[in-house]
Amino acid sequence: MGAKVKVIHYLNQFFSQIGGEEQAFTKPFIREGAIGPGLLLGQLLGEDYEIISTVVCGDNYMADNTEQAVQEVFDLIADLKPDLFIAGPAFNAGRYGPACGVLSKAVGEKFGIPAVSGMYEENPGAEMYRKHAYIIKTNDSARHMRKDVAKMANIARKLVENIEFSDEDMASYFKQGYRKNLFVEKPGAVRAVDMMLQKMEKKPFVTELEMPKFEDVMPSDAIKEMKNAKIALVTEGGVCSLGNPEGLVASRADKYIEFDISEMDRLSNERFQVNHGGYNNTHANNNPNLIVPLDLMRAYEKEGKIGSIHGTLYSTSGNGTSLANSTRFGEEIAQKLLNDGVDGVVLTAT
Amino acid sequence: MKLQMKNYKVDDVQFSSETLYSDGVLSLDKDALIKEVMAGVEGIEIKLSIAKPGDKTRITHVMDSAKPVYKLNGPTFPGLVDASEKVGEGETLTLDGIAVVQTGSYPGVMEGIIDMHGEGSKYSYFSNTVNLVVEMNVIDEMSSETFAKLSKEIVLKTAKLVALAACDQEPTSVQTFEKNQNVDGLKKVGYVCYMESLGLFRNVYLYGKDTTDIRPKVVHPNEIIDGALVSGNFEIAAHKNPTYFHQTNPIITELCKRDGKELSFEGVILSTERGVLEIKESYAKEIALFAQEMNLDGVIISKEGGGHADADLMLCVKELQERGIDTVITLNEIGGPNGDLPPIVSATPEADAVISNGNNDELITFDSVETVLGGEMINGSIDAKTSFESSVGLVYCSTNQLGVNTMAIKEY
Repeated sequence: MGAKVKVIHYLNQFFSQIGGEEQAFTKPFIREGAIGPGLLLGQLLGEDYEIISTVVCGDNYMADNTEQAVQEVFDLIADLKPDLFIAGPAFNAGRYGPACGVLSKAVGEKFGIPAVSGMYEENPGAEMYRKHAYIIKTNDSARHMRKDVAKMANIARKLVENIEFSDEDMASYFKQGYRKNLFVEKPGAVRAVDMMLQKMEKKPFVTELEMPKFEDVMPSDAIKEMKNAKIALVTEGGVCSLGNPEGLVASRADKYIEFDISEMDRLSNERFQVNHGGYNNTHANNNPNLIVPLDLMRAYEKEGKIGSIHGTLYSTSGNGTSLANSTRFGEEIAQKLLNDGVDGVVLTAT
Repeated sequence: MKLQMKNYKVDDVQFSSETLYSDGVLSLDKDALIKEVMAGVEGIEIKLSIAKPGDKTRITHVMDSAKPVYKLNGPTFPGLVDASEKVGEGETLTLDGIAVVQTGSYPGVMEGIIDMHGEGSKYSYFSNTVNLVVEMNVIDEMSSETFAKLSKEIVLKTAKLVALAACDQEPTSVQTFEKNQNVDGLKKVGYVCYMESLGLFRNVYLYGKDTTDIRPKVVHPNEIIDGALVSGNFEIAAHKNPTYFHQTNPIITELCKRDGKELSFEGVILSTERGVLEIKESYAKEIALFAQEMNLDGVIISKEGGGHADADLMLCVKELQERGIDTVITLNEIGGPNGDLPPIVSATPEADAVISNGNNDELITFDSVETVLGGEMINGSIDAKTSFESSVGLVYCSTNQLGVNTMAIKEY
């Protein structure tokens, strides 16, 4: 290797030995070379690596002024052209962990370089930033410093040198949550029977999918005066124009479409159809009002049961749509409805 | 119930002036075969082609696939080709290494492709079989219901007639499926097979009858692998369970293999996935009651489709686990191209033992091909001969949820 790999190391007031709690409001500053745990880190990274500078910041300052502090760190290291950023380890220090995490994410993204930190599993910084940096699982305190820093150095080196991780390497950091396909020796059915036998015998097994946790959606308050309410129609039932000139796909939708229905009494099957891979489309194609009940809503409007019907219909096909797309559709449609003074929505799902 | 599968290994298939099976080579008289299959059929034309592993061929618009079988002294594909009589015992001829693949353009049929070479061929079971491709073309207007049933009968009849070619030959091997009685001290395991039976183009036939309205029921595993269950699912390529994998259901065959050795395989509970929560819950409970009646210690559960199916699966897991019955489920994921989105849409903490057959959304680059069978365009927008990028879920049965493939997933 020619020139040494340039490393920037980050420490808080305590590990940089500038002081204790009374120094927690110290603004970011920079020291040349390695200090404190950085000396050990430099040694473990080996002679091809050089900790050119150490950035130090007080934990409270970073926690209270995060955005500004990150910018100050950027300014301090902008001219140094680092190849690698290492923060901590923070062990179980509750302010130091998120500080290491936020800087690893920010510096890694800003400079396009690998960023590595280390934390105990209960450190809030681990869960907050594991997706955005390589956060090594450490002990809860500095008593096994050498072992923990060695793991950080190992992952850092492999990232810089583009060496594939071993299973042991992969177990050494908090999962970033990216699931990738691969081929294994046994087919799924055989693995299922193997797992069944282990489970029934109360022997260890490892599930191939941890259950995801879903956000609960709280319904909004009830509308008190329906007779004055402006109601919108929104559907994931795949309503599109006849012949689908909008190109609404039947599954994995990447967009929603909108129609002006202000002059319509019902959805005519000469004007609309559906394109949705999740249910039998025949009946809805004959009568699109089965999916979007404009006909009934107009009757309610005439009877005075509701105030009015919003002039725009929003439609997508909700069939295997990604959570990211669904969330975006929901946010955008909701914002448009709010802007238009809509009070309530009949959201038809299939 | 004792079933003997007489297996005939097929290494190659060719069109010829006569139909016969000899030394692993299956010769087919194409014109005679078409004539016999299509006798009495109106409104549909078919074209037969052969696609072999390594051919620079892409099969598009794949609707279903079937394994050639011929039942001796009994009905082949009961209720659809032959009389609707019970199967699962006696002798059945079956050809290994060949699949009859149903394709063609029809409104409402969703895309699914099989690549016989290149990157795409790593992902489908049917990239490694010699495929007799039955391409359907509707020439007279017909209802979707008629097309669904008629096209099914055509494919299954083809599968039967092809297998018949081996009738007077010695099988390569014989496999016996019979419950082992010597199971003292072994844990009792059952299999719950959820089916996506939601009506047209998304249903499953049991003895020729649409299962959309059936309640959960116990069947003998031999019935399923002997042709009682036929797929009518023309929807999402990686989510559906084709007829071929009902006939060779890998969970059933694996449980049969270990029956009397490591476990006691007690039977199959069939259930449909429903669109209404109360019915989902009631079916899950009904399944759990069956499992309790059968004194099961453990149940493996598979599903078909995604979305709604996830909820059925999770409710079933919950009901079984609450009754002290261990569960393992097998599924695939829709975690987005980077695999960082929620992989399923419904979850329960009791589902602590899961087999994942891969993420449908991961992107791969398909190679260009010289020949396309089934239709020239993919999803109406991609020239099927070209190289393009798309999700692995576009590949027919790539992440099949019965656990056919060796695809798995690793979290980074």
